[in-house]
Amino acid sequence: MNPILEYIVPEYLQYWYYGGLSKFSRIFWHFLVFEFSRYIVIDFVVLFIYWVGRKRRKYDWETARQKLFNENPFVSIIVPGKNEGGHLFKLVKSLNEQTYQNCELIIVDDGSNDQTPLIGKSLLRNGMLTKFLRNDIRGGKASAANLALRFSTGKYCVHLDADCSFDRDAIENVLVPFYLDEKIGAVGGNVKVRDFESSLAARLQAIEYLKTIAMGRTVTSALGIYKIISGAFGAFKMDAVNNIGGWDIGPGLDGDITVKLRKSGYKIHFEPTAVCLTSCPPSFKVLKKQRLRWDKSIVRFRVRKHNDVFTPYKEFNWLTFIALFENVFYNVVLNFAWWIYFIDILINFTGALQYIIPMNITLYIVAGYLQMISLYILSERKEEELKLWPYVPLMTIYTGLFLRLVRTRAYFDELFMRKSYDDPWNPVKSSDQAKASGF
Amino acid sequence: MNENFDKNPESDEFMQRQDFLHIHNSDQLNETELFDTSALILDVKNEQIILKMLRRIRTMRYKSFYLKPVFLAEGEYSSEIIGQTDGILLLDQLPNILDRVEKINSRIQNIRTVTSKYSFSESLLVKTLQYLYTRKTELIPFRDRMSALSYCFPFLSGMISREDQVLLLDVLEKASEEGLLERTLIDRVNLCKTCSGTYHNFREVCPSCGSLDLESVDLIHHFRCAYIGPADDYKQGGALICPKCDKELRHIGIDYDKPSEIFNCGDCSHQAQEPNMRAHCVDCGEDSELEYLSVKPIYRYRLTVYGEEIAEHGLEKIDKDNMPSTDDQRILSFETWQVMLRNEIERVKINKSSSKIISAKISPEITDPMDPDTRRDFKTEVFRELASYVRPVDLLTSNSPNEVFVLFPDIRKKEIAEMESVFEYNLNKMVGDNLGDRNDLITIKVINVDDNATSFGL
Repeated sequence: MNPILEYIVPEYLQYWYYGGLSKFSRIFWHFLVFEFSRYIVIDFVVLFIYWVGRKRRKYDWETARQKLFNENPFVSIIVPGKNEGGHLFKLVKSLNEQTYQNCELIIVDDGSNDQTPLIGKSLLRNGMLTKFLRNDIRGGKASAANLALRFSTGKYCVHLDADCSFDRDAIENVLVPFYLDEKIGAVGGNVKVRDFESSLAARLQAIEYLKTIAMGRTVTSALGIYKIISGAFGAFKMDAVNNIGGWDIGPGLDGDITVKLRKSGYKIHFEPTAVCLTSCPPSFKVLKKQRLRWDKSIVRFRVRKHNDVFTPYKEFNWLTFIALFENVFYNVVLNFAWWIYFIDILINFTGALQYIIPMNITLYIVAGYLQMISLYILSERKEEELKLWPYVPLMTIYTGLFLRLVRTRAYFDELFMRKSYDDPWNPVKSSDQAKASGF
Repeated sequence: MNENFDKNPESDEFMQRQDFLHIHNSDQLNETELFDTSALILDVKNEQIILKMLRRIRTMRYKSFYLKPVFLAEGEYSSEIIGQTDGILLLDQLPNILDRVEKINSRIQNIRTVTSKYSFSESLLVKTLQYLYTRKTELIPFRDRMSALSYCFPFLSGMISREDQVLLLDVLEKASEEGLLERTLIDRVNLCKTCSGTYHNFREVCPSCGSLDLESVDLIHHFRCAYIGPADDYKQGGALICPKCDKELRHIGIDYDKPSEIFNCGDCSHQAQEPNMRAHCVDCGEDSELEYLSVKPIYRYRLTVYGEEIAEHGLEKIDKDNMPSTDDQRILSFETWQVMLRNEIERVKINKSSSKIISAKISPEITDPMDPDTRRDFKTEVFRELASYVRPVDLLTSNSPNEVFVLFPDIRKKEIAEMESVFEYNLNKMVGDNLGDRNDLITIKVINVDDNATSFGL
């Protein structure tokens, strides 16, 4: 290396320069094989194809949009929840601003013990809701959603969380894809973090949502392997969701219903322009609880309940197989593989850790910024999301350490102790029955 | 004076008589017949006729007639009829009754007849005060299904028709505001917006079409698969079968529960959990939403010292300001003081300053036994005493015989605390000379000057 460059370039980079590609790939095989290839190479290729096809897609979109407004189908917006009264007025205001208005709004109060019933009834009296249904006894989120479904009369059903607000064209945009392809049974909306400047935890989650939802789901949807419609914002064909019996007991019921729809032969689509803003856990402590619940549901539903997709059953579908395989492999298998990788490095390269760790961080930061560039190109909120850029380096610790530890614990808890059945998120009566029935 | 009378019905001689007149028919109710009697016994069984007779008596011109003790002959009567009279004449209680009649008639002597200068409502008011004064009783409304208000007031209700009973509430409210009566809440009634009736049939109706044809159905939640729907969804023969997972629901609490119910409308098929509640007025047939019913509070009333004064001397005695005459410009009429208070509230909001009001209440135990002149002198003394401690900018007023308010603009916490103890000490000293060491005769209260100040009746 040039002596001047040697002076400038950090020592750990020189180490890798002299170490060569073989040493580099031996040490960073986990990153190169599983992460760089999947999240950089495949994502960029797909996004490039997606970007190239934008004109054609725009034409198809306008045609579908015209079909939507010509038919003007009645849409049921359903909002199940417990103790969500404080969010209802803002939600209703947000929905009143929508460009698509042929809707009914049904709110289900699942045994709230706060002011929710009073607020809901007041909104109903003032004509701001179509129906306000209340279960005096809490039944869990799935039963609340099913109650709303039972009294919905629309051709499409849009499921929302009460603490969300929506871009003015969000409902319109989540409905248009049904007119792009009649085999589409459900459409997932693009969920972003609303109050991302409120805390560090919120900022990191905002970046994570952009990568995994805005970018990740655009890619999986383009590949036909999209497998989770967020409970916060998703639209369903009413007959499709009725045919599969609505929602089953959670946690993780949003991923579960998506898989059920896939197994019934429907296509699932992600629509990045249907934007919904949601609140996220403001602290790492609350976030940990949320993620333990989410991660346990991957084992419970993907590994156990829907493991038939991995076998040649009657309705076997390769895309559904790949969708769930990718989900289980990247989340569960690689999570444990990473610990093997970690031990391998600790044992075999103990003396080189001062070069490995900074290089590893550098790789993740560079990959993170590459993803942010593509997100920036696709985003409708460029200026706001630029504010997240300084925090991208911290994502290495957030996803590489914090989320990995949480995930590992969740998988252990669920694989060996079936802890998801003890989660207070569901009433005991439902969890007991679900456990007894093997759901 | 009625020229048919050969004796003055207001004379002492007239009042000394203790003759009870038995009335069997309305024709006997003329002023000549009543002239020589100290009380009347209505010996009529028909309650409608009794009510008419009572109205006729209570609307007569002279105090000795309209306030005359009226008893019912022994028998069974509704509570409304009994409430409008002085009771049932039971022979075994005759000595007590005679004594009561004598006292009533003696008090009637102390008061002035309601003059024709009074408006109808003023005349109602003064007669009511006189009734309470002569009977030494409280005005306690009693439930009456036949009254438009659902309540009747003794004496007072007998003077006006059932349909106009609601007017009484306005008269009594005004009397309370002016400090003539003290009131205690006992009930609230909902009045029809059209006829002021209180008899309503409350009905659940469909929120969509207003139909009464509603049927309530339980919602059933199947724990196993989270399906939830009306019980009809599950019914197959005699069993409950889940329409989602085809499992039989056997055991409530284990397989399923019923978290709520839903109403089906038989007319428009609308389904809702909260049917609308409407009030159907039995009297006029008006169908109203509950929020359109007018809610009126019903109180029991007690005559105040001030009210007694008016009962004796008539409305001419009303001292509008209830204020002593003084040259001290800090002592204002209550109305003027209220204007200053409102200005102060606005000023405090802008300047973020701290202003206070002190309310000094003197127990009626002290003021009630005083005759009107002594009471006025006493109040003047109280004002003089308080005025000697307050600053030149502080303003004093009163709106009742035994309460004084002082407004302290821009005063610090320490200063108001000192003022509070000075008031308490000196007023206690003023009254304590006659009533020993009691410390419950003066009540001092500090009130913040803000929007809430007006809710203290200021």
